[in-house]
Amino acid sequence: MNDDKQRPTEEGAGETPSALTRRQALMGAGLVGLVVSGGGALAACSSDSQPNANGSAGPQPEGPQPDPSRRELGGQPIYDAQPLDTATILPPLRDRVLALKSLLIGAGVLTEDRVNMYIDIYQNKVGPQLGKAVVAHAWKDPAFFNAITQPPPQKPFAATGVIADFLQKSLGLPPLPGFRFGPEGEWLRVVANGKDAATGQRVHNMVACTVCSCYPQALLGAQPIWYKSQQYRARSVRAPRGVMAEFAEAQGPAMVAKLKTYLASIDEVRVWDSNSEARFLVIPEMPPQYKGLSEQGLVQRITRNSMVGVEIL
Amino acid sequence: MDGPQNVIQGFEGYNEIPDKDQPENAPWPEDWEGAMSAVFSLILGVPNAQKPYPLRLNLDMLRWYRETMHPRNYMNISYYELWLLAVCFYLSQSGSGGITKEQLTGGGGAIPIVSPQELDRAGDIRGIGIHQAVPGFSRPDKDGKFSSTEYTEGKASKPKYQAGQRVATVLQASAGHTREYQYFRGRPGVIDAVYPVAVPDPKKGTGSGVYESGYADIASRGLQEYYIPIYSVRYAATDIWGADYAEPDTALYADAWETYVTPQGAAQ
Repeated sequence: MNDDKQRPTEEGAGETPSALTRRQALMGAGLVGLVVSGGGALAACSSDSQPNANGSAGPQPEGPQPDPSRRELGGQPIYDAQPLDTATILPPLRDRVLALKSLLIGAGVLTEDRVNMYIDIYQNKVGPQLGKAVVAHAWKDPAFFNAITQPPPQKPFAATGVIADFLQKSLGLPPLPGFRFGPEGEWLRVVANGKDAATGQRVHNMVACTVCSCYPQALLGAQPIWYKSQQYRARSVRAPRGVMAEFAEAQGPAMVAKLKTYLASIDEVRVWDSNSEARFLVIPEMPPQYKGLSEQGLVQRITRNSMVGVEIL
Repeated sequence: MDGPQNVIQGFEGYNEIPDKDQPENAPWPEDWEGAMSAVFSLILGVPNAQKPYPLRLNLDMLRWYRETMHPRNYMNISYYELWLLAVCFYLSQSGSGGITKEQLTGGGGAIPIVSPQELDRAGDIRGIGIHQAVPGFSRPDKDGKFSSTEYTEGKASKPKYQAGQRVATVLQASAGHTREYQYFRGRPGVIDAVYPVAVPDPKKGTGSGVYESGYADIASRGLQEYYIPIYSVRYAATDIWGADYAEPDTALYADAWETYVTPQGAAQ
């Protein structure tokens, strides 16, 4: 563990690196944060080694090898592979997280049940479907729309109560003791794309947390990886239209064209940095062709990314 | 504390935003990511065993401890490792659950969760930070406690300014935690909305419509709570990046505690 010359052990130590996905190898070294993903980010990346005729990985040259995909890190993997003499080589992050969890459970600070309950909540119960229900209802019910987008000045987070009542009534969500709505949802501000009531301008809103990852979890669930990335955090406040273009390109030329038309009609882009405990939800503009749909039909067409403001519908 | 997390805003040296295609209802591709999120969320409010922390763990404290990571490591590690360090440092200081520094750093043959150097570094930074000033308050006393003629500890104060007031954010540079990031320090803006503040009612819970959380710069030290109003400040992007560097017709909004701003002339 304290041999500075030794590379950190990775999952499946003893297997050749090509037997791991790149993501696994990088996570073993704790280097996921800045990796540029290829197409299909979460699919296993292919090995960089030259395959043999039968498809298996060829013999690996000695020592760490340059990895051209890591231009993100300046293309100097040899540099990165040699830790500072003062560094402590730690086990893979996964092992350390699970060890911390065990330690806390063993010490009686947490229980396995509570941890699993938390995971279950954000995997199965609290997610973007809640935000979509709110957006769909806001589109269909002008009084609800006004109540959440124009709170009284002395109660800027009145939207929390209005949304909590709506979701508890319409979706039967149980109220949480100690909360009006839920964690990361107690101080909600809802910003609507389209015509701004105060100025008459057509606006587009985008939300970020440029320093960590603050996000309206009570409405949208756990944050996506891109929201937490340094890339998004750096760029959202500097080039919001550039960010939107990037997301549109990932969806294809039709969306790129649609975005271009949309942005040409927008008078102002507003970027909200979530640097207090206030959390922001974006109501995207409803495409005119959705006009006859029921709330259920609308919910199926709204996207999580449009409620953060990086995509349009 | 100033570090990579609060100076990267506006950087153009990065490549594409990763994982844009992450599915909507799959927050954690790996099971342990959910476990780390659970750990740092559930540990909030857990009782302390030791003296330096009269306050129960709050998010502001955890956010500060994330910032103690060495910048070289910060730039290279994953999001979850930041929270891992933050939780470990808190545990090593607070004694919650009787957990010791040795247990966290691989003593007794357990796997090391965090390095002793990281814990020491966090401790050093805390030791420096808790003696520094925060916006709106001069330096704390020898025990790290603040006092003020304008604000009363533990009591909510009324907003001094109104929507439409032109303001500029103050300058600061400390090893402590702040939510006033470098990119909008010293910049001119206009108050767009006011967040009145209230002390959260332990019986009723939160969500009354006003802001119900403490002043982050002080809460992060774990010693005191002040409840100070916040302003949502609107900045022209050109006033942040320069006319030739900002996207046109773009406004940035950031929240500013009353102590982060000074009035600039009459309200508009």
